Amino acid sequence: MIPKYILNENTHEVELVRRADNITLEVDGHLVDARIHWIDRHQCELTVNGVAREVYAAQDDNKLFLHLDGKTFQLDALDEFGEGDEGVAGGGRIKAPMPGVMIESYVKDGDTVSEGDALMLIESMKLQTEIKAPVSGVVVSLGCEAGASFDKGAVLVDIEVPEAEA
Amino acid sequence: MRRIQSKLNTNSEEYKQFKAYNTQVMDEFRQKQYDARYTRAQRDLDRVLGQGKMLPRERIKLLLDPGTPFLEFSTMAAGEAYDGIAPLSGVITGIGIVGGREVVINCSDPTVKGGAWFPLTVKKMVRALDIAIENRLDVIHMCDAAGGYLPLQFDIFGDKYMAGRIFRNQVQLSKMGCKQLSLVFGHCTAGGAYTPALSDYSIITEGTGAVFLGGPPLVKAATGEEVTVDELGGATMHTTVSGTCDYHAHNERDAIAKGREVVSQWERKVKFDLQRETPEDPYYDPSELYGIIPDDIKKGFDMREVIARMVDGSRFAEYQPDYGETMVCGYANIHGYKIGIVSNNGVLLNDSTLKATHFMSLCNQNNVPLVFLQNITGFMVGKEYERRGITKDGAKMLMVQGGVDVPKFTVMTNGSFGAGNYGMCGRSWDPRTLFAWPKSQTATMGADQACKTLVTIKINQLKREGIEPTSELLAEIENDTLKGYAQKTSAYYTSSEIWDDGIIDPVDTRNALGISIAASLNSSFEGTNYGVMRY
Amino acid sequence: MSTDTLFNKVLIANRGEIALRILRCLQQLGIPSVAIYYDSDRNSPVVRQADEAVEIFGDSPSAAHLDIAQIIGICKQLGVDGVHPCYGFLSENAGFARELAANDITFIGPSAEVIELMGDKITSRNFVEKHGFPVPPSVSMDADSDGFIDAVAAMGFPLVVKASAGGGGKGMSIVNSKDELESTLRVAASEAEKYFGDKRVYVERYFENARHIEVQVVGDGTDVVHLGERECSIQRRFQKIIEEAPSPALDAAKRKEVCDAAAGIAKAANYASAGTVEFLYTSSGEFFFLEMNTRIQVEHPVTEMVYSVDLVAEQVKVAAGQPLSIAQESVVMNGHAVECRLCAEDAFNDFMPETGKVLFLKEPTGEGVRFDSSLYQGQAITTAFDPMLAKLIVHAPTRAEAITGCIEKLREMVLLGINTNAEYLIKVLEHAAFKEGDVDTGFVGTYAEDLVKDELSADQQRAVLSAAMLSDRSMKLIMEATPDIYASIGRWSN
Repeated sequence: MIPKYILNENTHEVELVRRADNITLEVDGHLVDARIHWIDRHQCELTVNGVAREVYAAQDDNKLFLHLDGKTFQLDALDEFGEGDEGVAGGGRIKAPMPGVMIESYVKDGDTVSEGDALMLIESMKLQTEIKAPVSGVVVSLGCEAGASFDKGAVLVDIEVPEAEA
Repeated sequence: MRRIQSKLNTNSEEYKQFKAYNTQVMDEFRQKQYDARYTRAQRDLDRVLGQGKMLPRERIKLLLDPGTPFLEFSTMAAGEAYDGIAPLSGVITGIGIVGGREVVINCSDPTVKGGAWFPLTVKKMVRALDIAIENRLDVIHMCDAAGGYLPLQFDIFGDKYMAGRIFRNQVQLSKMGCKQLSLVFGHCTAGGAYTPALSDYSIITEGTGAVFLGGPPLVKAATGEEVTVDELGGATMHTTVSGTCDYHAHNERDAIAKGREVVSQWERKVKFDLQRETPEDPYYDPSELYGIIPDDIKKGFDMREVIARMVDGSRFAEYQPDYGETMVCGYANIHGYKIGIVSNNGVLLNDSTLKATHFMSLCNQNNVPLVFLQNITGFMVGKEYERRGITKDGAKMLMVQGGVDVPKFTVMTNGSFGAGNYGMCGRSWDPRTLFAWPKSQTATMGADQACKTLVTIKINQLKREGIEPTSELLAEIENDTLKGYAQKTSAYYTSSEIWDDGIIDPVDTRNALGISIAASLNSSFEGTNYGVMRY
Repeated sequence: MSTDTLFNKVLIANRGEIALRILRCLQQLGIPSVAIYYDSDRNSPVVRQADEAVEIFGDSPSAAHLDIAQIIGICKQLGVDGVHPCYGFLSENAGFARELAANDITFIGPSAEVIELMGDKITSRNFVEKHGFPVPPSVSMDADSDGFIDAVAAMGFPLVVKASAGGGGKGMSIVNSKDELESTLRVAASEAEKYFGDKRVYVERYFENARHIEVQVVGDGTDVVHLGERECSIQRRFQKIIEEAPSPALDAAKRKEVCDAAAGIAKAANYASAGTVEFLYTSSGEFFFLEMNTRIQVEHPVTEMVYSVDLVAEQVKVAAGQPLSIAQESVVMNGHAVECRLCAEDAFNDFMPETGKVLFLKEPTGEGVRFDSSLYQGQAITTAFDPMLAKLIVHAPTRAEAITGCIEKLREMVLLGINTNAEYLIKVLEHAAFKEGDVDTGFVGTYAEDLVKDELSADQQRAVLSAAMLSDRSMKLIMEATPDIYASIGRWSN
């Protein structure tokens, strides 16, 4: 397997080449000589190509958080396995552009909506935003109820486009 | 253990000459190996990629643990057979690491005649499973094969070591507690269907994966029933209706990821506690081997120079250095593992034969695996040696070599002729792995000897017929004999026929042996003991 | 000073860093404390450290913290005689203050009347104007009423729409043309109703290059002391992110003028507690009253550090009927303090809120460093509350040193598990215009092109990616499972 990480929206390959006293990695095709010494669960000293850095690391599932050179970096470990689920999201699926709270839903399952209709009011960062229908169709599922919070990327509403119009 | 003091002069003309020669030999080997691995007709690649499949080596790369080796077997298999239409004999086999465990990979190559089974395909698969059996290794089958190669179907079915042996070996592995996983990427038809069915776990890929005894055309012909591939043996059917496969995968990546998860759940085998030191690279540069191996098989070389470029720290504890000098025996470490080396520095004489026999007994008693470095013209012939009992001494060597319980590993470095091949643990003597260097030769006797013998027989035959051969005729006979002999003794031929586990670059020998040794430790090799006889 | 004269027990009607800040003060004053918490805050430090902690319930965490009846019930049950509302929630709710008074419980803040007076943008503006202090041009009436749109449009654009009962930037938006006016008013009214239960909005001229300067005052009903000003011009979405004291824009004379105005306004209101008078300070040196916040402010620590005063202690003592312990003549401004608000947001992507979990925290420390937070390992950061996670305050002899110190401490601080604006804050602090003190409320927008994420050097990127791979748990497990021999042979094939 080839470990892949997304940093600033770009995917990078970090291949392990060899691990003896030193570790050799191949980062995007460049050989890197590394040495790592863990001080505790979160803190380590990492030497990369001779430059030593104090690094703090923590992980939440496939999200990796690193602190080095006075900055914090968030990376996603790429899940090779999930690719099969992609492509399901169609034109009628609205994913949350940001985390927030559903204030009010103007529609319910089964409602017929036209493109541009206001579907719901969400709130995030003290800003309220109206979510509008991207296509005309029938609401097949609402992602959450009024008052419920959601994370970025959560499906807010699914609209099924009738066959004839698809 | 002392470091070998190399006497190699890397500035000598001879060194440079050998190095130039062997560099060319290696370039040629690498090109052939590259072609066998990657050179395919564009339409074969297009067909496979067009089905949304990955190429087999991409699949293997995704499957294996990052930063771990893959020891591939028999890359030159079928290289000199079937007019070269079946590179690799259509299957990739080897030992790789998945979830920290050594596993044998048995991966069809659908870019070679759709992965169809040629006789040598079957032989290579059976051999891979034999390696798994001998070393108690788990197996991952990556199935994507069209079925038997029909023009040669009568050579793959029926006999003991033909296709049925694959499934017999699968059963034996299961009996031994070795796990098997099948990743079904393509069709597993007829006999091939038993590979996933006999596996402990199977994962089938949506769309391209299918398992059935007879495909839709055969079903139509046999019963008139019309049925689609998916209905007959697709991923959904087998994972929801028949239960033939365990997991449904959205795509190949998903299948491989699920496969890794399955393997990581397998029990981790307790390895035999072979004495191991901290590994150390050889002190002498292994690439100097190119300047050691001569440009002519008839030229001799000191095997200590080879050992010095293969073992940890170039350290070697030589056994009986002043006795039986045509054998070089002793202890060393490869990747930390303690081994006993049995190697040739000339023809097998009575004393050298007995020295090797004694040394092998010592290793067996001490649970030290044996590594044979073959460069042997054979046992000495002639009145004097027969009187000294060379045959009797040779029998002792065979009896002990064939009887040891420790794992054995053989490398064909140069020549392997006659009964020397037997004494030095040739293929018939069950080395766990046997690798050949590109210029090595294997035969009952050397080419010149064989040629002279054959020419002598021919002259006698002609004379009986009353023909006095002219010098032209003699030259012609000699030339024809030599040519045919050279082809069939070469490593490319023996490897094509899978008399070994592949041709390797001498520089790679250390790693190939390290992996072979590590893989052999999945079972204890302590056997029945008896005292060591001084022969 | 005897604690007998203060309170028997004080309930902290809030959460997060400010609740913890108030608790510290109560502990110093020897006053028994009660924390209230919603389920999601069960493990927060204030809950663990307060003498007593009581769970509150509601449809949402906010609803629970706004539930006056429930909170008063808890007070009565536990014998609480003082409630500190902190900022936000019920801090400027006159009804709450009244209810408490009706139950013989002291609201630690100004009187309900003053809250009401200052809490409404329109009445407060009129009050200030009446007492002869400068106010900006504005229109205020019920948005539904006839002629409102025309009256507003007549003022000229740009305009800023505010919730009449609002504060803290909530429900505020800028309107640049008449086309946007109607829809903006509608959304603003909806927000105003949601947050403040009062849909009246108020529109005033928007000064684009003005500074936000506010003055800290404390009063005991008789005397009012000002504790200098704070410069709070670095804002995004009307939310302050960097504040400092003193303002680099004011010289001593101007400072006295502005601060005296603030003290005058507070005195006119017979102000008795800590409060803040916010001014708009234009590039030409004019200043207009914006609003008065009748509570402790988020950014109060910069004042505390520069004046060596504990504002919360003054609030508590005044609320208990004691006179101020400080006089105008006795307070001395010393050095400079800068506060950065660490927020859970993607500052380089339109300040989108971020959610996550606190996986690891290493607080910055050092001389002159104050880190106010209630972060704890394992804490879930959701959008249920304000995105502010913590405040870093650095006090130093000079402004330049305080800025440098802030940058250093922001780099030193480690918070893993959630994206924060730390790097953005550093970009602002490092900006030449900021260093010059050349700021206004449009700073973030004006310099948007400068305030972007630094490109990583190839070397740094490799270090980050190497660190990622080597710390990735699944990779560590794989590597640990790899037998030594295969690790040392590595990625090799024959």
